Amino acid sequence: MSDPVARPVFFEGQILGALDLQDSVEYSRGRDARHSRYLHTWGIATGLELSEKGKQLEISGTTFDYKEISVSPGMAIDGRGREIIVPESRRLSESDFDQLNVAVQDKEALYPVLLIGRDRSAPASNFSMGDCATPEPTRQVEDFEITFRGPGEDLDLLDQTPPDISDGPGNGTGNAWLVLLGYVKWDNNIKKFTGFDVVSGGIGRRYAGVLADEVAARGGSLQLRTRTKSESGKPAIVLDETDGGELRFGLLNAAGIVTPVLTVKANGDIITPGTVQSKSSSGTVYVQSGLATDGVVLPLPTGVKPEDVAPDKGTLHVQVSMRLEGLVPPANPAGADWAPVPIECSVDADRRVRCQVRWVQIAAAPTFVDLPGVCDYVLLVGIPATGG
Amino acid sequence: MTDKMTLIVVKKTGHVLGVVTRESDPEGKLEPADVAGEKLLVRFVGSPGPLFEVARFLVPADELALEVKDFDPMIVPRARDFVLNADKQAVATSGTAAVPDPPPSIMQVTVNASAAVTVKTPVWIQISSSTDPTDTQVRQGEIDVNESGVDIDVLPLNSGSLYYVLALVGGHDQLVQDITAP
Repeated sequence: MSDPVARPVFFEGQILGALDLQDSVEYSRGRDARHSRYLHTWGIATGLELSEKGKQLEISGTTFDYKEISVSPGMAIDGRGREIIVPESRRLSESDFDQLNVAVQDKEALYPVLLIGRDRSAPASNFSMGDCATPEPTRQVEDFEITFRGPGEDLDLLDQTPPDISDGPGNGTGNAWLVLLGYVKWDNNIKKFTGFDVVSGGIGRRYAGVLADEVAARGGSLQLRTRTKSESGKPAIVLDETDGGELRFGLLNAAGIVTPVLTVKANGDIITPGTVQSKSSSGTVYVQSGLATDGVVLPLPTGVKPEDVAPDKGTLHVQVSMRLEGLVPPANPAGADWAPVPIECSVDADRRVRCQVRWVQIAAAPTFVDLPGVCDYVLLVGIPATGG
Repeated sequence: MTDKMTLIVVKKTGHVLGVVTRESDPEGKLEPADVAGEKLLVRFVGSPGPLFEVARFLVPADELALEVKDFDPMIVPRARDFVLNADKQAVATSGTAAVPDPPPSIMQVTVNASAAVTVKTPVWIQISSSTDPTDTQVRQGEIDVNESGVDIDVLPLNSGSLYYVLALVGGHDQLVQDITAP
């Protein structure tokens, strides 16, 4: 069960011990962690990008290519609400990886790279109380650790257990919270990294977010976009007070302004230069027409799905007629005269065209050749209105 | 009338098996199953006779691909005389393939091109029982350079039974042939 949160208070003449001062620090840490935990979602806040530098290694006269992989400076918030700061670029350690014994023979396997927040005691102070007292550290370094897992051992990263409601961020011991930075490839023969990726099997870097039921602008315009900075060509949504209220979706231009491809106005007008596609609506007739050859299933009009013409749903009307224009008689024997005779032109219950022409050679001893025919078709689908 | 047509082709060899056009949304996305169902009906082309007039093939939709091309009135009425070349252009087929009857064994069917080929040539066949339309199999192979034929392994045929073979050899005319399993 979670303990109540206690705030240190002091009174005149109180003798302050180290614990009193420590409680003051812990109270602030706990409050910040709870804010991060319950008003934000955990993940990378900035930076922490993987990068690689090509290198070569010579073993017994053979040259091998490998990569030095580094993590850029940045910050993440873990699921305990703890800030994890990587203050400067850090190269991933091959020896750390090797000691974990997670490597497999597959050189294309992707190994998760994970960031963990760890407290570390700073060196002890030179100052001590009296000759008998042992010098103690006066700072805790909020450090970090980078570790690795075996291929596929990243499925539980979204199911890590959060702390109790009133807990602070902790000191990084025990069940540490893992933040995924990306994936590396490893060559177990030369004990080196050979590349990296940021996604594996649909799982990738997770960025910190916001938990909010209400987001409000102060200047009359609210923008939602896919990048931290306004980048030309990236999508964005703007809600502002143009013409009494307008929602616009489109791509940002170089000036950071959305070029709208969809605008919803306050009076209900929806404006788009593109095509609006929707599930078939009731009380509508859809039409398709064209040509089809023998054996083809007639395509349904755009927006109509096969289930829309199932029994007790929409009504299908089909008209086909054999196309005699442009018929080409059999090539053999060359120069022979032929007469076409339609022998079949219909559509079955599966909308499949059955259309054949029998060619009759005009000769004393006529021969016959059956060829696929071509039909003109018109297909109407009526979707009945519902609810009167 | 639309100026586009959708060709239904065999992925392996590019042979055209059908054509469809759509006045509305002529270049809109279609999947092979939209115009073939689960299987495309391909019927015999040639002189009607007691055996061949019932020869028909149901080509699985996953063996097919669709290509949208500019409408060509020369292709539509005789679509099965065309094949997509390496540049995805529809060109007339030429050359007569052959499926020797009887095949070398109940486990193999031989498919021959009209002559030794100068490039590796894809071969696609569908074999259907004359009596059981559900007894059908699709097989693929390739004729190597300087060879004129290939033996394709098949699931065991019933000895003495009659089968219909739809044989497609890259660039060649489509062939429907009946064979009797040895």
